[in-house]
Amino acid sequence: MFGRMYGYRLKRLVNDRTELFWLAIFPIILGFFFHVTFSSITEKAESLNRIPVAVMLEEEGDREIALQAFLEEMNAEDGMLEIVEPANAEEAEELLRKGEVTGILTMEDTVSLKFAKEGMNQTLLKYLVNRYLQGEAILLEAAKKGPEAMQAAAKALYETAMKNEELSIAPGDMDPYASYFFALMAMTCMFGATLGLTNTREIQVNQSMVAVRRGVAPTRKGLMVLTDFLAAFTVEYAVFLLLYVFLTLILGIHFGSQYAEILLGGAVACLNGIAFGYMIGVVVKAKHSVKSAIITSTTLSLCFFAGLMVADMKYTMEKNMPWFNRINPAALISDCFSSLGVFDDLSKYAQCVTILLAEAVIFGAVAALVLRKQKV
Amino acid sequence: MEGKTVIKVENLVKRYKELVALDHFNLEVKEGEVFGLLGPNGSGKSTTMNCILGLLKYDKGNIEVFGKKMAPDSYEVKAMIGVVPQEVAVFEELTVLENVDYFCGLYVNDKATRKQYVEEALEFVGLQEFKKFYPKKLSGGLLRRLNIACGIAHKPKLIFLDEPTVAVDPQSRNKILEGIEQLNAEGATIVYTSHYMEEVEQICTRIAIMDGGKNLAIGTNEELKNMIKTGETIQVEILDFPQAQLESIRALPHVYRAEYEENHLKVHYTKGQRNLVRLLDYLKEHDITFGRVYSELPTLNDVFLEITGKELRD
Repeated sequence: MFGRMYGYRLKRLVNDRTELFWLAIFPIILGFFFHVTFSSITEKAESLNRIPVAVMLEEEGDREIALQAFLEEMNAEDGMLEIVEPANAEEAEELLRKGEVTGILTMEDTVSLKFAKEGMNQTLLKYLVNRYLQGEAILLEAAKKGPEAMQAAAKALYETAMKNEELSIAPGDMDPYASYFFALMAMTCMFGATLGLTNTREIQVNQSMVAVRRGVAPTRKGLMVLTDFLAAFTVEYAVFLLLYVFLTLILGIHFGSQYAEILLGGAVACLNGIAFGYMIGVVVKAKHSVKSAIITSTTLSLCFFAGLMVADMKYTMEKNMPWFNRINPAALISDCFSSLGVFDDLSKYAQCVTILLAEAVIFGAVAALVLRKQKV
Repeated sequence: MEGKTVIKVENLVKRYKELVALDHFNLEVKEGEVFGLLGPNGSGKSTTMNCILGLLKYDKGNIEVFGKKMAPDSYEVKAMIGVVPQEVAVFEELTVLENVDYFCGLYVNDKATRKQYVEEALEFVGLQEFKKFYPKKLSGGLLRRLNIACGIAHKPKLIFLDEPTVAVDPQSRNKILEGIEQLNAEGATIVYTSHYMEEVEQICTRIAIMDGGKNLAIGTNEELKNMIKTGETIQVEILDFPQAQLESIRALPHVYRAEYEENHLKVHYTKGQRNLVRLLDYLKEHDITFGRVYSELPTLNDVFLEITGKELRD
């Protein structure tokens, strides 16, 4: 009986074309668009090597000296900039017109940039200058407060710089835009909640007529719940594997080579998503459409905060509400995969998987208790 | 009443907040009956059925099915019951054959037996040609038949049918009603809820008339009709009927009510014989010209009307 019920449940879930589209096809389409967008950025970035910039610093004040030091750092052998020092403004304009430099950097009250056109080099140059100006502003503000604040600000800036360096030289062969794909995989796993919701709809007699028909049968409710859950997990895990295979083999995205950890992390993430759907399905007393809306909005919001739409969002959350990243399943799933490529040891990965599993157990336990209480 | 008691409901009370859906409801269904629960929408028919099936918790009372108290884990009792709910309850994602096999499989574990049962159920409802179809490809009538097949494939001893003919074409309706009679002939006890009195009159051996969560009357078709005053209603088409004659008509034997409206004289009789002849003789004697004449025996609607003061169709 178990095998037959499991088989039919699997068939029922797989044949639901609408649900399958959102579960399996939509993430693949989104992944494809991510790939198209990021690969063009990567190609351009790779073709850049160093960005030539004409620097015109006339005075020799403290700010100019500090900026000069920063530019020299950037002009080093492995730096991003190639500094050109034209003799005068006319020569700089000529270089810019001919396209031999990306922009002209000058400093009067503040650092300003002049471009002949917009493009990837110009964007990166703006980004670098903005970062410099932010750091400068922090230090100037700290200087006003005294030496201790100054020291603390300098330390913070140094640590940020070291952290960035650490991330950039992380081991493995991970794709530079992998974080978007991690968030995409997190979204896919979280979408498993819809399968959990569907299952609760077809086991609670006040939710659907099919549940009524199943409810009057002499089959144990526990067996139905178990086979339904296993079928949902099978479908969701297959969807996860399909996306992983598509991203790695078809699109050529590199997530590192710790396959066993990726597969285990994916399984736990799928479990978490389905269990979340179960919990919403039985705890919320509302129509199925309302529950469905809750699931969709919640999972998408969690994915948004995990950096699916804006990569910086996760870091913004980390800065302002770090505790949220510790409990947001989408952020945990994303962290779980990204940690494999960033850190040498598995402590961060283990932490994420453990929290995800614990959440899944809590979601599942709440759902089981409420279902048990319903009795019919 | 003969036969073993299959369902016994005593003093059943079910409330939805302030609304009393079932008010000290009593019922006894015997083995081999086709028992009809007749009442307008909202009278408590489906609530009764759901309480009996253990799908609804009730506030008070006692329910026994096959001599055992019904509970969610009464698996032995559940195995003998088949349910055809009012709304079609099948999986859209499974074919006709798979649906029947799935639901039959919840009752019958043996593969060979189940296969035989499923084939028989499909043949019974006339869906063999459609077994590979998905439900959304079926018409409303065929869907209803699939709904029935899913409920009866495991050959239950007690079958609940909740308004199985709602929104179906006449051909499918006849097929369904014939099927119910056949199931009963094969030994199944049927509980049939409907607000179509013609259907209930046609197939039910005993009927309970429900309204406002109460059981107003129980009996066979004849017994129910004998409970009321109306024995016969005669209508005569008369273009110009002198109102003064109405009193004389009312004075005729067995007449308990007479009215003249829209060119029709309507005379209600209690019981008695030769009512029609006597009325026509009267009209001739008084030179009252008349056209078409209709004689109607009481219906369940008359029973309902007389008991509740309102039409069953309202």
